[in-house]
Amino acid sequence: MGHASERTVGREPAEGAARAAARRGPVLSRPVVALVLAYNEEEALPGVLSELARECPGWSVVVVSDGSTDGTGACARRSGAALLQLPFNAGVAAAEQTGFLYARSLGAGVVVRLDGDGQHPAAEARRIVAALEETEADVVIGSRFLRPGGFRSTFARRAGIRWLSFLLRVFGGLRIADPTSGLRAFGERAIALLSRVYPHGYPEPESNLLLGRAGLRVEEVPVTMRARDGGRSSLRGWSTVYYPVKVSFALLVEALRERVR
Amino acid sequence: MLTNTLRVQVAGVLLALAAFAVVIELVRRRRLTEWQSIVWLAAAVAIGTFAVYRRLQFALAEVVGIYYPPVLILAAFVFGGLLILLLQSVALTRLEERNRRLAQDVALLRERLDRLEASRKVLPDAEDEP
Repeated sequence: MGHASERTVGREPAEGAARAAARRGPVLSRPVVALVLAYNEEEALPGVLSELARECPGWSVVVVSDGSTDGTGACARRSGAALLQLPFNAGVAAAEQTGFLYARSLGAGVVVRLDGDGQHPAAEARRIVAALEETEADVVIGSRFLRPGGFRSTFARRAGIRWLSFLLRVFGGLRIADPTSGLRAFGERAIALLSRVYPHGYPEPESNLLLGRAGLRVEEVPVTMRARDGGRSSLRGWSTVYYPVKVSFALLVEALRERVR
Repeated sequence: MLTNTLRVQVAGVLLALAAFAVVIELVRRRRLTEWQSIVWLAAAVAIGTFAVYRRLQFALAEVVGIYYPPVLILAAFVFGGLLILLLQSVALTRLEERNRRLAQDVALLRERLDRLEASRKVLPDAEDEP
């Protein structure tokens, strides 16, 4: 394994916080960790990371490479981001939770989740983090459906998303227009909770329900997303049929569980 | 010439003994833990018992209210098999969970190791970018 020349963005919690305070207006006591999930995204990842460095200086960037077999890890190292490499493809949920465990060890005050494929603009990530700080919510979801424009997925997927949104309202009393959005920001309470318990598979709708039922405040902010920058969606073929069924069932079971505290 | 009844009994007992031997051998080679083997040994004993005591199935069938006694044996084994499958699924899920935890720990430790190795470099020039 090659050694990384790691001149990192805020590796030590204190340093990260100090930089964040120096470069951004409002004083942050704890670092903001940008959690970038990547599975074989060597094409799009450099763009994502340089955009993050430009738009959001002072954030600690961590790339979780979910068993990638291409140059994803090398891209992360070159950019100076921290790199968490899972030894095999463990799935979105496991990868995300690894990021939360890491963020916790840094003493992060905010975690913001972005995809490594370029769908999530860094400027929008910055906006939802700002919204998290302003509204003092525990979770802020970047929603594609609260204002027109941008990339909004296909018709079939939108129908599925409406169905999941309906289930979240029934099971958890949550009003979330875009429960499958991967672009989300989490405050300390959410970080602590998610590093303990985490749903399986494609976890966004379930974790929203989990957090909502745990009594955390989940807010939604309109964002504009882009179409992916290369690579392929991990949801294709049969999983597009399997996914809504699995998630609906998972939401039902989640609603039957005891509330997490 | 053996009667049909006796032939079935002999076949059943041989089957039970073979199953017993295979399970014991697997435990001996450490391919099966003692705990898991108990279920399979119990199954072998059940086969042997039903083979030897043929009246057992008639008695049991009457208790449960089954008209055709052999169905009782079949049903019992099917349900037993399903139960074992369910337990195996539970065990598999637990292993999956542990596997995931291990993978996550590997990723976190690797990152710490990278950081430690980088910080232990004495000269900044020693950084080896190819």
